[in-house]
Amino acid sequence: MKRPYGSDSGRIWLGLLAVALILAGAGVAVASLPARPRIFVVGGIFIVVFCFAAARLVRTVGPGGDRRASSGGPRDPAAADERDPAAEPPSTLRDKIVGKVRRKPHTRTDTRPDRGPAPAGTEPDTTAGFSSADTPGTDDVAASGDRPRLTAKTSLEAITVGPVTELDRTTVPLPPRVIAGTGDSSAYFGGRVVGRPFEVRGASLPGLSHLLEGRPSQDCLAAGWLPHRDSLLIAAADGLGSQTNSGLVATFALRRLLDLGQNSFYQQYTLAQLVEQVRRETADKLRDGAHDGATTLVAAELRAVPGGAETDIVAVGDSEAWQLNATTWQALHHERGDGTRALPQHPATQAAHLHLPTGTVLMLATDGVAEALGSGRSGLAQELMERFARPPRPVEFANLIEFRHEMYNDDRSAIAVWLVAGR
Amino acid sequence: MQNPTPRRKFHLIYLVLDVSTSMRQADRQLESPFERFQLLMPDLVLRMREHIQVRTTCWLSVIAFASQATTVLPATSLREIPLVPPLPEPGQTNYAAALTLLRDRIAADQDTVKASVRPMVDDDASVIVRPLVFFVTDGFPFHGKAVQNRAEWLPVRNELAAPNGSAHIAALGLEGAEEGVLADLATGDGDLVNGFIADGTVASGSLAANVNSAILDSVQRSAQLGTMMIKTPTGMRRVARR
Repeated sequence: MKRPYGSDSGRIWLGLLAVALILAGAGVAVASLPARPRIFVVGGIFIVVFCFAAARLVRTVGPGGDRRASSGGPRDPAAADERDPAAEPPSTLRDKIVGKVRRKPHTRTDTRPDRGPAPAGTEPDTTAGFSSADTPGTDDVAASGDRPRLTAKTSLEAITVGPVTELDRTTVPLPPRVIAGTGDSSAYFGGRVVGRPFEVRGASLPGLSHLLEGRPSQDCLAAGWLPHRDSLLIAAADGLGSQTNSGLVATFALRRLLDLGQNSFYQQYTLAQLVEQVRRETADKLRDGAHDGATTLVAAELRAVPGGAETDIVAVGDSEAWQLNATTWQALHHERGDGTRALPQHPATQAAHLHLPTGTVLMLATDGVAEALGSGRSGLAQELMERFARPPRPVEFANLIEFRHEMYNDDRSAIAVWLVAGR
Repeated sequence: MQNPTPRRKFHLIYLVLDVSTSMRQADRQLESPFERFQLLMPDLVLRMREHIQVRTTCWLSVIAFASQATTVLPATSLREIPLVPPLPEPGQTNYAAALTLLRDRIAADQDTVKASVRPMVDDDASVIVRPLVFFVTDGFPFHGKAVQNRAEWLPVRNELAAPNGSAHIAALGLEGAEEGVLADLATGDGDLVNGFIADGTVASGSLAANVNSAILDSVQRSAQLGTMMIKTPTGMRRVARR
């Protein structure tokens, strides 16, 4: 942690005052001595002071010494604190994070049933490309409920998600970091951002078609508070079914987006720049050609301001962003048509920068949900409009997202933020 | 020539959980089986639904028992994501209350299932509603100031397992359970009884997670095959028929 700038000079003055008092006392004592002992005492004091000063000098300028002192003055208070891992240079940090991801054990979070040890040969690939460690893991709160109490033990940053005694209270705090979906995992979560007017609900559910065919879900959701930016980040990604590892790519992209967003080094980056950084890192991961994969992505960053939230939306592909204002659904991002743009082949674009007033619901959804909204006047849109008048319980939100419609059997994922009044 | 009437099998899944005081004692990893079950319950439900056969043919109910038995989750179709409320307060280990409530619920829930699937079938006679019971406990029956003797709960268990009750019961005993009690409680096929007891190799919190996994696997297999199939959970062994 940084120390207050100026505290060093105060400490120096105090030190000098103490030394002056000691010297004055010693002077009085020495003056009262006979001449011969006085010489020995004064000489001894000089020797001690000399040794102390020499030792101090060696420690200051020698190898491994205090670099701040050797630089001749206090460091720039704006400089990153060396002991703050979040402020490390990006390359070092990236190495650390990637290394951490690669070392992640092949286990599920504590919020899910233990499937026992991984069979031989299924250890995460630690050399290149994506591994099973890129699925939601022990760093993330993944969610089949929302149990902040458990997060301390299993640690959202040391587990996902922990369901809870009172799964459905709408006032539970949102865990600092949630990643849900992909693989064969259904998940839902919800909570309130403490001290901010954001009520969040999310659900990621494998589509009927995937369940029938035994194919894993490739959708992923993420939500996290970005303390250095004082903002809430939510995102949805949908791995392209045409490429094998797209589910892992979707998870990797959202995990990295949260990593970067929560890292103080990137606090000056815009959301678009963060997504672009994620795109580059994803491309790097896929560069060896051993793995394929691509994902759509839509992300929103909300900053609370009086009367609502300043909101940025960045997106690529057919995952969509919508806002609901009491009686109207309005698309903020949608790309429907032939061909799906996806990371890392295509860059994301700034879809919107707007002020969302209190009372608005912002929803990001993969195409399994978004397409069923139609132009905002479909049956689902009408149903959600009524049910979203206030934040539903997380399990209700999940059941709403799992609407039944014979035409829509793709994976279903949606994350919504209610801009509620007050804090 | 008479056309055969198709039989439609549905399953009522009952999780009967012992929530007595002993279930709340933390293991060496500072986690109690109660905490672990409570933690994993929502996930168990979600994962059950990921099997399409389970989603379309199963109803789930959760019963918790300590000094008294309580229906925590009434029988609910897994077509919807059910909300499992918090488990109740601890107490003793009243098997008689648990089995009596279970017997009463099964009778009522079978009617409920038949009523809800009536539009999909030719007639009620073609519908089979088979209860699959997962009875999880960590102790022996005890209520009041004494051990509950078998005469208090075994007749109710026998009613459940009788052909007209037709419940399949898997008894899963965590650390502290009594092998003979589990053997009496469980149903099975011949000498192969669906009773399992902790073998002491796994901490109780982890064992609870393993039990959860075994239940999940069993529900998915059983829904597909129409009869109870359960594999021995990791950290447990099958009890011998008495």
